[in-house]
Amino acid sequence: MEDRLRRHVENLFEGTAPTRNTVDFKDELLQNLREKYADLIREGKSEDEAYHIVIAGIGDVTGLIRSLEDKEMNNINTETLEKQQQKSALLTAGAVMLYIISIVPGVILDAVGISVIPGVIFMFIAIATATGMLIYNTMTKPKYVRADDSMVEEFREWQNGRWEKSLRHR
Amino acid sequence: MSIASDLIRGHTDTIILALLIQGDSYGYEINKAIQHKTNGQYELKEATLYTAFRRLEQSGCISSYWGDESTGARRRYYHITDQGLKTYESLVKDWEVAKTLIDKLIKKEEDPHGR
Repeated sequence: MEDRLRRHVENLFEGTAPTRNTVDFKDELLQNLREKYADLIREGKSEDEAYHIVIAGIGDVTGLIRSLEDKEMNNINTETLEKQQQKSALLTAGAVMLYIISIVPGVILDAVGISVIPGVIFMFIAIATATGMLIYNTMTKPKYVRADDSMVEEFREWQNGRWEKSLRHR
Repeated sequence: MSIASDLIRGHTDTIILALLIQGDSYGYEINKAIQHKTNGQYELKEATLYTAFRRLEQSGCISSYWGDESTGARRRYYHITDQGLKTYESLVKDWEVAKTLIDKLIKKEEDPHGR
């Protein structure tokens, strides 16, 4: 029965971007509905009755969810995104530059006729650095939306899992 | 719930602020208090309640934090700020004025001859 309540709330949030505000609201709503449901059961209502009373009491939350989503979008569209794009462009340009420069010392040293070894070593270091920059760039970009909250959200996911398990044991 | 609920809904913010003055609280508890105070005659829809919370939080009247319940999921608590207290006072004043005016406007004139 608790699952039914969760499923209903999940449906309300279907197609919603899982941003901090929307996830927080979903957790908050579900938690409060659960308490209401538990109280109704305690008052002697049947599971079906309690479920329908709780569902009927929610009202239309689509507007609220939409506004939470929009707020999140606006936050992202400010300076942070611009800075992020600038950083990303710099990293990519720098990496490409390193790839091109990497062979230059080797070519020069070879032309002059001294040992090629330092040139080769420089080339590998330059290539490794450039590759590292590119990987760093791609890894930091998609993560950044929930970066500051990832720990909290992971903890919450873990907590929910534990809670459900304890329910099943009952 | 009847037509009266439409009238009350316009004062959702004041009602929530009034309850938060008594102490920090969370969604369901606030709705329970409303139900209790009105002998079950009035109850807010979740949509109305949480829209009001977000509105009040955005205008700096309340702040929120997650509780640290050891059992089950956590609750999100709301706390009234100084700004919220000021807003509450002025909303109550507004209501007093409106109440007096509406009473004057809609009540039947008292017959001076006592018919």
